[in-house]
Amino acid sequence: MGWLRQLLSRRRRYDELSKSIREHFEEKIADLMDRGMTREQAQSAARREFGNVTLIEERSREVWQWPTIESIWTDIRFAFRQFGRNRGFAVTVVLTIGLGIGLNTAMFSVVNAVLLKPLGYRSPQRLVVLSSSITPIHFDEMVSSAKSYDALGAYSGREDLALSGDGQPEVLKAVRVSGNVLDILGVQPLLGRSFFPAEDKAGAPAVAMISAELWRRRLGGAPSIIGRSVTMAGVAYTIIGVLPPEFYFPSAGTDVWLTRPSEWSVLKPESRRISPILHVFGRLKSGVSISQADAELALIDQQYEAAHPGMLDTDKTVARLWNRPPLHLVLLKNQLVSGIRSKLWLLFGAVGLVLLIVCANIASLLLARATIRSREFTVRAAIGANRRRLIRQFFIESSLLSMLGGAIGIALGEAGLWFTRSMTALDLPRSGEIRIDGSVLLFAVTLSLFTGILFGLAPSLSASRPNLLGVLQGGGEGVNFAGQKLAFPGLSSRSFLVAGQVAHSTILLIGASLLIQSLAHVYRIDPGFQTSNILTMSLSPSPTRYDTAQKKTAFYSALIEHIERLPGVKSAATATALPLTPYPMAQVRVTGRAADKRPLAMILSVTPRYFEVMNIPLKRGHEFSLHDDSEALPVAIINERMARRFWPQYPGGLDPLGQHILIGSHPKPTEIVGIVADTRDYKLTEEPELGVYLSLDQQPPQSAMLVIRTEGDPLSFVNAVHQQILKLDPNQPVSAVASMNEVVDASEGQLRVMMTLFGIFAAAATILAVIGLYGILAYLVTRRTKEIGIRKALGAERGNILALVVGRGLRLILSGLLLGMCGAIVLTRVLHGLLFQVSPTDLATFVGIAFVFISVALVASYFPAHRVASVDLMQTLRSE
Amino acid sequence: MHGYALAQRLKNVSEDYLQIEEGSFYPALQRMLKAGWLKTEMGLSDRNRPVRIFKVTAAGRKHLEKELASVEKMFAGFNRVLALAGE
Repeated sequence: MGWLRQLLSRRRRYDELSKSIREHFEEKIADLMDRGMTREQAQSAARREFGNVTLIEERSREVWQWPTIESIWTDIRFAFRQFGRNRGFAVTVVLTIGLGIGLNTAMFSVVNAVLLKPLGYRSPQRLVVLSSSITPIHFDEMVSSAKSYDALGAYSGREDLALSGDGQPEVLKAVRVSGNVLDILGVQPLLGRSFFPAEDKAGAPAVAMISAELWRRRLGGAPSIIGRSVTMAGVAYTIIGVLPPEFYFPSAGTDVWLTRPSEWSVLKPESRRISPILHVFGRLKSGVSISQADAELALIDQQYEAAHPGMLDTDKTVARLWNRPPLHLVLLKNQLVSGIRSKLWLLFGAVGLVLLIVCANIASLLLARATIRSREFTVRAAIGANRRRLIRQFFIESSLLSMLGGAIGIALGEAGLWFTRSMTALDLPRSGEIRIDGSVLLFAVTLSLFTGILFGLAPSLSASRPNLLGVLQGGGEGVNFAGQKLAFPGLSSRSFLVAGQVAHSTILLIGASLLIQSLAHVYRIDPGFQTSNILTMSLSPSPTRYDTAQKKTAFYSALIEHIERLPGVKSAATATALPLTPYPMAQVRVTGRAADKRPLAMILSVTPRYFEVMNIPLKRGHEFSLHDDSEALPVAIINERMARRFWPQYPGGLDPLGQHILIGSHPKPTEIVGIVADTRDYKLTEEPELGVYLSLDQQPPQSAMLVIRTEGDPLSFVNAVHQQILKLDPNQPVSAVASMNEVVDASEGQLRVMMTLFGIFAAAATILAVIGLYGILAYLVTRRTKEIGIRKALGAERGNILALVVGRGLRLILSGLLLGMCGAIVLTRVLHGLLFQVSPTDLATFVGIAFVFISVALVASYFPAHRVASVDLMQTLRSE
Repeated sequence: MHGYALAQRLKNVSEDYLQIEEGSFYPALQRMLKAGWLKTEMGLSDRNRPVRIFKVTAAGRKHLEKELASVEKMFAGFNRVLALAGE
């Protein structure tokens, strides 16, 4: 407790100390006067022999302090006083840093949640998935022969199930998984239990697990849900468990989990065993590596192929048809993020660049201020402050600014995240986990500190070697702190900073404009069908009430009839999928030709007049008619690409009309009755596939997309159409209502979002760089006012002055541009996967950006130049 | 003794061999105060002015004895080594 007492009595100690020293002087002076000196002589002699009073007093006081902490606290208080005096400066800096850190924090939370955090399952590093889907037969063989796993499971594609019961009919997203899914992942249900193994076998009672979100939103949110029966798609399922919130396996947005994945309702029962519908996942045994498991996979594949030749999921077939590598294992984590990983890191790098530019701006500002404060620092040095102390003062100031900015940045980051979450177009996996948590906060704080150190470095180094004599003699601002005569104190570092800013902005601008050009190209593509004035929605008639083909056909036809009677509706049709969305494929060959030429083709079922609704030109033959129903012979319409593929002399040579093709494993040959133009099928940017259109009435699907051509804005017809649907069947839910334009936009969603974000960063960076440039030129001009006045007196024309300043500005810009161009050449390669019809080193873009920057530089340099060139001569000579 | 007197005494005793600025031992004085080896009192100088006097405390005396002892040991060691050099 001695220290506490000491703390409290410190005042008294300081007091005593000063008094002791004073007494010392008085005694000494008295002594010297006795020896014959005058009072003044005695005083100066005493002072000389004593030493530096202030310093000694300070050192003596320090004995009673915790020196480092106390002096840091003093520095902090001093820094705040400085901020108070220069409020504008402090606020600008803090807000700018806040912006930079906010952007980085938001981006890091995305990267952290999606890419860095381990998945929330037990030992997620042992969870693996297969690289492509396999048939139930193959899966059974894997389960019986594979020894590398603790357990294996599978799931099939998403299904839409209509929920009936009280309330609005609704379409739920369902997925069928193996019963052991929760065991494999290591997750406990929130309520109830997981599936029993018996429930995974054919014929077992219908059970389901639901998501916490569905439970709360639609099914009461009470524990009594367990054991209740809920009817979906006409089948009564017993709810046995509720999954925890944020359970996103196998994909986000799943409402219902059912068992028996091989009973995928999208396919007919006969086709299921031999179609690659199962996505396999599993938990590796501890100690088994992925490569060992892969080797075992290859062995199983060999046995499988030997036992079942010609299956669609053997390594050989997959390689031939889709050019994919053989079946192998991928970590669950990597599979989730494969498409998005590089893009996220790209965006992260881009915001990093923006932050660097922000730092450069602020460092530049601080350098300018340091020059102004040179007098203050030399005086401090004169009374004994050491260099370390001065540097520390700078760092404390910059750290305080950056910590304050960081606090604002975290708040901004939270706001930015709220905005990102609504950007569903990026379709981020694990998007529900994106939030500002401990690691993100740590990142933000570390980044703030680092930023502070970074931009504190420049001014502190240059300002901490005070040139005492020079400053005190009044010429201080014409020399730099090392005592060398500098033309423009602090300018060289600032020039470097501005050039750096220009370089970074150039890189961002070039990236952004490349992306914008890509998007423009994408939108200029003719998709081959009409995109405006078309309304789309998804229908899933209940399988129990519409169990036969006749009933389904009748439903779709009646629906189309009713909708076409609506005022403003031109025509309507249904199809199994919309263009630019996923669709099924099957192998197709021409009857009578060799069985080895069986390329994959897109298979789409449509009703009559589909091509009319979508405005896809019919080149030959005719559309399907109402007679082409399940009783009639199977017919097909192919696209021109397929026609050319099988009849290379098309449009000349043998007419494909009337020929027959065999589709998939269908035994019946299908007659070609029409040929239509090609459309973009899966992506706008990819070539059309081989396409076969079948008559929907011949094989009506369980769910279909409705397409309606309207006069005017299609979305204004939503209610009217919905009414008609409900009139026909009050329990019929619709989902996925969108205009065709929205569907097209969504298909290029990623590119759009990347472009928007990049554009924002590039714009911010450019504005900062231009401000930096303007600032440095204005400063330069003020410093050289005297020199310019002299030049004018010697006869320089206004033009010469302008040229001088503008020339300086141009030199800065050009060096920055050069650096930026080199950087861009290297870095834009990363954008390669996103760009479309534009090279990463597109010359026109580079030249264009250079031109933009140079013009901006000229404008930015013109104003200060103009000001100084026009000012009165005498004034410039007198100013100092 | 008070501060000035100390300084004078140091100078005299070391016969001007230790040339230090007079003020430079104030921090040392404070350190010894903090450690509890010295204490301050009000007293009178030779000129009958009121001054603060530094006095050694009991703990300080003990510490002094310890320090002296160790210095003496050190010097004894030096002497022995130097004596060897003479051989």
